[in-house]
Parts: sequence; structure tokens; C-alpha cells
Amino acid sequence: MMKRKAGNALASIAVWLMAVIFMAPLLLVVINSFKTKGEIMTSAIAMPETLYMENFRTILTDDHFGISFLFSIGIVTVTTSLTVLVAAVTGYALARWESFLCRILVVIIMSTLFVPFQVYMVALIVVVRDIGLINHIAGLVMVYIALGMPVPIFLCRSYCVGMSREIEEAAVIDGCSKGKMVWIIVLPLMKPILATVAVLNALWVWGEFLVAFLVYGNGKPMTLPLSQRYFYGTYSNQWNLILTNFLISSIPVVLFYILMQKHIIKGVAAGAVKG
Amino acid sequence: MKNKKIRDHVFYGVLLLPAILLFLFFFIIPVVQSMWLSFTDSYGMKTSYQFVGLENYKEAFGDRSFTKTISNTIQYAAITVVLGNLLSLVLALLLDAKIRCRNLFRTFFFIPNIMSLLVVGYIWSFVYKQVLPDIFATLNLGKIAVLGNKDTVVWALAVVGIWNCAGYYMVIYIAALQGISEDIVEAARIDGASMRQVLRYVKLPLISPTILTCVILSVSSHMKVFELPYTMTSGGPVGASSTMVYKIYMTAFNANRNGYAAAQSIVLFVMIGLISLVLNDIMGRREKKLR
Repeated sequence: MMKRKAGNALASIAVWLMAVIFMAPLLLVVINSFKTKGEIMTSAIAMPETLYMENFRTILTDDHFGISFLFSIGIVTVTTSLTVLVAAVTGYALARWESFLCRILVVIIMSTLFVPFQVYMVALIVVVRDIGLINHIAGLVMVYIALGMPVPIFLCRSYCVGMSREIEEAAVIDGCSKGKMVWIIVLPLMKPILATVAVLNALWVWGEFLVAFLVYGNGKPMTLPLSQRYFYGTYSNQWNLILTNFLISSIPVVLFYILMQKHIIKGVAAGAVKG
Repeated sequence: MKNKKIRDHVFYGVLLLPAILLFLFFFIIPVVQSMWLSFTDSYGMKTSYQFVGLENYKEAFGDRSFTKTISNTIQYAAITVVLGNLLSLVLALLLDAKIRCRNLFRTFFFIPNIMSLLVVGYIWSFVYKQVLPDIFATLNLGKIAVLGNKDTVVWALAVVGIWNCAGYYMVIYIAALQGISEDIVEAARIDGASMRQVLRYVKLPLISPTILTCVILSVSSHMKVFELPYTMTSGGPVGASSTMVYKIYMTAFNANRNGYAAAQSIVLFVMIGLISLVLNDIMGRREKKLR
């Protein structure tokens, strides 16, 4: 028993140590956000001499930052809602409909899991350009949905397989049309899995850079990661402003994580089983 | 009756229509076109191009600046996959022990994963370019430039890759460890197994399928690294940290050589596929042996 306790104490120390190492870069971001440019140049590891708030004022009153921030929230809202809707109805149909088309679709979705976007990104941009959606919000959202839906579809499908058909059949017998039945019965029943899917998708879209850069690189307004790249380019060496920008834009995701922890953890574990 | 069946088909078909269209335009057509483009000399916005056979592939394997990215990517992936999974596993085992504030620690380790990779890259540029030199100066250790040295730069990127992903795989490992029934562990303990033996002969074999999954997932995710070289080094110094996706990006969008970039992409795809298959095979055989 003693030995076990000693082992646990050792584990605690190890965990604390790892946590400090892991958090160090982020702590540095926080510390340096309260310093002037000169202070950072003198030493990036010293504590701030005074609580310098000017960086925060500069970033928060910067129109570009505010607009990109709101725009990103908009993109995430639209993309995630549509992804969830498409994944839900597709997953449901794949679970209930027995047909040749379904089997083909399952194979296609499976193969998307093995063919990463980076492999066909060159041709994807050519296609997006050919259909005239390059640098277009609609193009970005559609590509996001297409790239983000495979795992959600699988999760929804296996969730639906486990759902009893009786309620659905009862509704139809009571005279409910099938379309309405999906909307008012099936989707609400799928809520737990849809929440997981939505939360993971929102996190991904919020921070996604490469797809946005290629599909929507010259679009206006910029998404937050695009604006951060631009910001980094224009304010090179003004680490005080750059780091403050990162700090402010990371606060919502961290809060989101803390609120949605359960869904995120569940989703990550489930995604690994499916993928 | 027949009528109802047709109505059913139409109904499900309509439900599947959005997904089918999205897959068609943003997956099937690009993938097919990618293969086709790799045999052509397609250039930038030009709409006419010619079939050049295997020219692009021949060029790729003779092009030092491309083959270098293959070895860089493999080195980067090997470091991040092996050390990253080890670290995730250790973290999971630590958090699986009965220590206080497990949720808090899980949050600490997971936060790097929810941050944008672009931001992660820039933050670590700051760490490598400002913080580390300052630390070395305070300790009187002289100058340091990990990103400017071609021997350390891939390791420097790999540290960031591991930092970013450790929490993600940790969560998967924790789920697997919690799936092990207490009874089995208890039985082994009663039979006199030490904690280390329980780990070696009970826990690790039981979660070996999860380890395989995580290794395969992390291989394909680390082979695709783009943001880190993009933000931290621009592939430098002299191409020492250029990864395959970064190179594909440069070839396609800076040099505008779509055809050549498509061929490079296919090489990347074949590599990821082969590595995954081999890993699957090795682990499959080991599992059979265990039984």
C-alpha cells in the first residue's frame, strides 16, 4: 500500500512537470502580451515591469481584427450547421436504405479517409476555379463541408443503425410524411451524436488555415487564421502585438473547449474507432 | 406496393443528393483529375496542356529539391510518430493512475491541439527565435539558432508537431486504458504481478489495437505537415525543413507547375498508403502471434 502511494506521488510530480513544460509556450504568450516591444527585445523571458495594456487596446480597436473575428464566427456557424445537417441525413439514409448506391457511397466515404486533402489539393483548386467559386465565401463553405463530412457521416450512420425503427414506423403510420418524420423525429433522436460532430467540426473550421488560404486566399473579409497570417507579415518583429492577437483569438476556443469538454473527448475517442 | 418502393428510393436518393454532389465535385473529380494532371504539363491558369507521359515522375525522382523533401518528411514523421506516441502513451498512463485534478491536466495537454496550427507555428517561431536565445544568454551558453541550423531544424519542427498532437492521442489512449476491465488487472495483481508486469503483460497487449490505430493515424497526419514549415522556416535553411506538402504547395502555387505538383502529390499518396499497409501488416502478424 505504501509503495502504491509513493508511486502515485511520483506520477503526480511527473504530470506536474509535463504540464509545466506543455504550458510554457502559452504562458510566454500571456506574459509577453503585457510587455512593450522594447521590453520583449531586451528579454523575452522576463516578467513585465508594468501591466502594459496598450497591446490589448490596439488589437481590440483594430477594425480588421474585429471583422475577421466576427466573420470567422459566421463561417463556423454556417459551415458547422450545414455539415451537421448533411452528415445527419446522409448517415440516416445510409443506415436505412438498402441499395447498390448506398454501398458505393460507403466505399467512397471510406476512401476519403485514406486520401488526404493535401494529395488532391492542386486539382481541387483547379476544379474550384473552373466552377467559379475561387475566393468566394460559398466556395469556401462548400469545400469545408465536403472535407469535413466523412467522419461525421460514419458516426451518424452507426448511431442510426443502433436506433430503433419503431418510432419512425409509428409516425409514418400515423400519417406523418417521411420528410417531416426525419425532421421532427430522427434528427432530435440523433442529438447526442450531432452535438459531438458539431463541436469537433467547429473547432476544426475555426483554426483551419491551408484550405482557406488556397480556396479563399484573396477573399474579403478574411477568416481569422488568414488575417493572422497577414498580421504576422505586416507587423513582423512587433511580437507584442502579434502575441496579443494570438492570445485574444485563442481565448474563445479555450472557453469553448472547457464548456464542451465532454463532447470533444467523446468525439476524439469515437473518431479514432471509426477512422 | 411497387409505388411505395419507388417513393422510398426517391426519398433516400433526395437525402443523399447533397453528399453525392459534394463528393463528386470536391473529391472524385479532383482525385481523378489529380492523376490525370500528373501525366501532363499543365501550367498555372493555362487551359491547354499536353500529355507528357511519365516525364513528371522522372523529373521528380531526379530532382534533388524534391527528393530532399521526401527524406525530410520521413525523418519528421518518424520522430513525431515514435516519440509522439510514446509521450501520449506515457501521459495517458499517468492520467490513468489515481492522481488529483485529472481533468485539469487533460485540459492542459489537450489545449495545444485545439489551437490553430498556424498560430502554433508562429508561437513556436517566437519561442525558437526570441525565447531560446534569451534563455541561453542568461545561462551564458552562447548563441543558439535551432531553426537556422540544417541539422536541428527538422527536430525543432518535430518538437512542435509532438507538442501539438500529444494531447489528441493521449485522449484516445486514455479511452482505451479505461476500457480495460478492473478485474483483469486485479487478477494479475493477486497472482503477484508487479505494476510494471501488469503494464507489460496485461495493459499494453490489451491496447495494442489502439496503438496501431494511433500510429497509422499519426503517420498520415504528420506526413501531411504544411503549416509548420510554412510559418517557421519557409522550408529553409536551403530546403532542410521543406516537407512534401510544402514543396507541392510551392510547385503548384508559386512555380505554377500544376502537372508536376500533381505528380509529387501522387508520390506522397503512394508513400502514405504503403507505410499504412506495411504497419497494418506488421501489427496484424504480431497480434496473431500473441493469440
